Amino acid sequence: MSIEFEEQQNLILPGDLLECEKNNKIIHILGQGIYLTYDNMLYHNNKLLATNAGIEQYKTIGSNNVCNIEYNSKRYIPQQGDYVIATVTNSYSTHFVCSIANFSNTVHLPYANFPQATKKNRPKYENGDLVYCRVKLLRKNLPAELECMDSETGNKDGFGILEAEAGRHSAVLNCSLAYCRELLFNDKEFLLLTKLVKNNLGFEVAIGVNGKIWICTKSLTETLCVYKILEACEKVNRSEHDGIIEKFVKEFIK
Amino acid sequence: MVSIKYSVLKNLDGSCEYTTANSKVITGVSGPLEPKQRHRLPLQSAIEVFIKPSHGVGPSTREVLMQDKLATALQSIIVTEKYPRELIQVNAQILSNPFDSFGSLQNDPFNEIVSSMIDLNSCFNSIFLSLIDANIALKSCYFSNLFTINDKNQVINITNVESLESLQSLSHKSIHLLVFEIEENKISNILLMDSKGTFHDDDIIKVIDAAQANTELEFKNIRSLIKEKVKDDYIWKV
Repeated sequence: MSIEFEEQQNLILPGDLLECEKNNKIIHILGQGIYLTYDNMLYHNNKLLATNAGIEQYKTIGSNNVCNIEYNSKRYIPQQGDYVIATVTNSYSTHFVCSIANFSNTVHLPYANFPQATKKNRPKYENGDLVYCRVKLLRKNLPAELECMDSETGNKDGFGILEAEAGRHSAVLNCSLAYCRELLFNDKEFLLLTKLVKNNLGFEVAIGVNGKIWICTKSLTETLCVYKILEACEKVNRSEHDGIIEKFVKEFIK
Repeated sequence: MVSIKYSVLKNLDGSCEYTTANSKVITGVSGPLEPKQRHRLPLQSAIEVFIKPSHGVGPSTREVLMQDKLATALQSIIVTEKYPRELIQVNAQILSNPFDSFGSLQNDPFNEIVSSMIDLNSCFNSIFLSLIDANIALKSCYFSNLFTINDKNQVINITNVESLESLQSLSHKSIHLLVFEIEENKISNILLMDSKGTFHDDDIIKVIDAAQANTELEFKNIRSLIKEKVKDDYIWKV
C-alpha cells in the first residue's frame, strides 16, 4: 500500500483509459474502481476504463499483475475479508442485523459465526452495541455476512464486542476510509499511533476500515485528547502531526 | 469566473458549491443507500434527484422538469449495475438565480426559460463534482454548457454574463443547453441537448463548435481541481 504520488502523478478520472491498456500490458486481477465495457459479448477487445477519480496503482503479486485505483471516500461498501466496526441494530432467532455505514444496506451477523457457538449459547448483545468483526461472505443477492472469529482456527482473535470496562471511557470517531486503511495496515510507515503512545497516552484502539475508530482510555480527558488528535491529523500534512499532538496533550493533560 | 468548492457539507458523502458569474448552487450526493421497497430495482441502482428552488417552496413543475432531465442523464453516466437494489440520492439547492428579484422576468417569455436553464446548467456541473467527491462509479466525465444565439446571430456563453440588465437585454433567438460526455480528456458524445426557440441546422453546428471549445477549456480547470482534491485526500501521506 504505497503511493508514489509526487514522483508519478498518475491521476485518473472516470472514463480514462488505464495506462496498462495503452501499453498492452496484461492484467490478471482487477481491483477497485475499474470497469470492463461490455460492447463485445465475448469480452474480446473490450476496454478497461476507470470509474473513480484516484491514483492508478500497479502491483505484482506472485505471477499476477494487479491493477487498482486508490481513492478516498466516506461511505463504506462491504468487501470480503475487511475488518469492520458494526453497530447491532436488531436481532432475530438466528442472527443479528448490523449496520456498517449509516443508511446503507444492513448486514447480518449469524450466531453461528461466534467462537464456540452452539444452538443454546447465543451472544447477549443489545441494540446499539459495537462489534468488531470481519466480512466473511459477500453474496450477490443477499446481505453481506459478518463473522466474529477466525473461521479457520475457531479462535476469538480479538473480535467481539467493543465495550469499556468499568471506570474507563470510550468513544467512536468517524473519519475517511483511506485514513482508516492507512492507520490499520501501514503502521510501519504511518507512525501516528506510535507517536501517541510515545507521548504517554495509554489507550486501547480498534480500527474498522468502514471509517470508524474506537478508542478507550482510563479517563475522559485522555479519550477526548486522543479523539481530537486523530480527528485533526486527518486534515493536515504528516510533518505537522507532532505539533498537533503536543498542542492537544498540553491542552488536555498538561 | 467560475468558483468551485468541494466537500462543503461534512456529513454527506459528496457535496459541491458551484458559483458562476450569475448563479450559485449547492449540491449533495449520498449513496449507495438502502432504498424504500418501491424504489428498489433488481439489477441496477435507483437514482433520485431533488432540486429546491432559490425562493418559494419546491420542487414545483419548473424543478420537476429539471429533475427528470438530470435523472435521465445521470442514469447513463453512473455505473448503475454496480449498485443493484440500492439508491443514489442527489440533492440540489439553488442559492441564487439572476432572475430572483420580483418583476425581473419582465414580459419576455425567454427570461423565464433562461432562468431555469441557468439553474439546470449549474446543477449539472455541480452534481458532477459531488459525484466525484462521493466516489460513485461513473462511466465517464461530463460537462454542461449554456449558449444563446441573439438576433445578430452571435453565439454568447450565458454563464459569463454577469449583470441582470445584460441578461435581460440579450434578445435571444434560441437557447441551447449542451452536456458533453468526456473520455480521455476528449469529447466523445453528446449526453443531453436541450434547445428552445427558433433555429436552423447551421445554428446548431455553430453552437456545438462553440460549446466544444468551451468544454475543452473549462474541463482543464475541473481536472486540476480534482487533482487537488485527490492530493488533499491523501495529505497525510509522505
